[in-house]
Amino acid sequence: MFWYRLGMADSRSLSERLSKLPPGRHLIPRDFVSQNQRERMLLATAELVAERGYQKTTIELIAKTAKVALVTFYEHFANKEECFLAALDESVAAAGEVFAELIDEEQPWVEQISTGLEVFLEMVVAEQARAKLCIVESQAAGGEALARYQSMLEKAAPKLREGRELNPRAARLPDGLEVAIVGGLMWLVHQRLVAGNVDDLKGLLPEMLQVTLTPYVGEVEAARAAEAAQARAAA
Amino acid sequence: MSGRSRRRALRRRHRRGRRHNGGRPGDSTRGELGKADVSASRRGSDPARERIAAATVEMVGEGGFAAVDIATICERAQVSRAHFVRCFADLEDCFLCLHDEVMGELCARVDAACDGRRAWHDRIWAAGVAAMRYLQEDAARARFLVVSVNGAGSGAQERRDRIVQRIADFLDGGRGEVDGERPVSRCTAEIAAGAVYGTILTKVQSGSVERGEEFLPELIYLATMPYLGARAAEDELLVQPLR
Repeated sequence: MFWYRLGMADSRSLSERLSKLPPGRHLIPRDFVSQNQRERMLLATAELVAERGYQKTTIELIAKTAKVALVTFYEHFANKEECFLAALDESVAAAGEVFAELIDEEQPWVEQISTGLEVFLEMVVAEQARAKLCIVESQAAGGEALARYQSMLEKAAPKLREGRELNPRAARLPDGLEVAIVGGLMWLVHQRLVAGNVDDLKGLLPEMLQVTLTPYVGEVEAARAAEAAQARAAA
Repeated sequence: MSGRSRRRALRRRHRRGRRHNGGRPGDSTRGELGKADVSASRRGSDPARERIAAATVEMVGEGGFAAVDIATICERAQVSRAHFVRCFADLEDCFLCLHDEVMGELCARVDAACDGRRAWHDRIWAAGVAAMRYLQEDAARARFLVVSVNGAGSGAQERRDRIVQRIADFLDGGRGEVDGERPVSRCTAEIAAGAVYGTILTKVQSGSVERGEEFLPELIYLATMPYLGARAAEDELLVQPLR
């Protein structure tokens, strides 16, 4: 499992991850305490939003779940949206680090895409609350969150665009092709997350690869890569 | 500012925020079906309701759902608040009912365009041209239909999901066009529908839907590529259907 191999998925239970620092006087530096509180609030936001949706998540609930006072919440964030956006940014940045670490730029492009999609699906399955925050709730939490969602799609586009070098007729391809494909893949995962049905998500990898690779290498080559991915998954 | 007064100020800000958020229509948790029924029963040939509908579609299309409230809609529509309440349960109910009506209008156009066409490829083109023309007719209505459903509460999200599922149902017929033994499931249609919807959203958001003839071939490419293959889909990019 790529995700766990990197040690980025935290194996502690949620209550352990949200446990607060010892109360009363202590020698822990103020910055550390503040950072710890912020992390707890971001984690609580991800968990609550995934469970209840953005609209039904309140500041009181975030503070209560993160075990911080309401005033502490306002010391860090102006409102719920700001907290949500911080949680979103943090999750997207963490996922970006995983991709950067696991995608080997020296590998052929088709393999890089195959690995990237496999890693993406593993992340969704391993961190469903974060995945729901980034893929589902970011589209429901207002204009700024939606803009971040769209910028997330655009971040993935350059890697996909490298595949144009493999298509001799690439000049004919639409400019927005890469963002559209990433959006389509995200939509498929979005639907599974909304239905709470991500168990079979990794089984969709071959078909996702087929659609993703076809514009660049053609359907025959894409089918070969999809079969290889299926064989790897079966092994 | 002392620690105590700062904390007091933060508490005040919290209370203000709650009051402000308390009025957001998107926060409503009441059942969608009941509300839709209420409004449906009040629909009819009511010129004031028509004016409310026109004002809402225009204002939400111009500024987004968060930018409108009942008072400004009533002012633009020149109706009383009491009449608004007779027509709709609240702002969210108004938005959802009108969204259903606009969506129904678009679907009727698409169905009429596809009527009598049996081949999947012909139906895709006919639906694309009809939908594009509908969106081009009125930029504010296009934004109301496609853009405003994002970020307008759970009921609006359901509508958005229904739109994409409907596109997926339509594209799924392409499975019959696939050559060879390659297995294609419903998930391919969902990816293609997500790609098509995302592209329409981007174009409507940026105001370029008025140049629909430039990107309709792109939509047809996205819709047909997973089924017809790269080469055949690329040929779709050379067609100029609306000129």
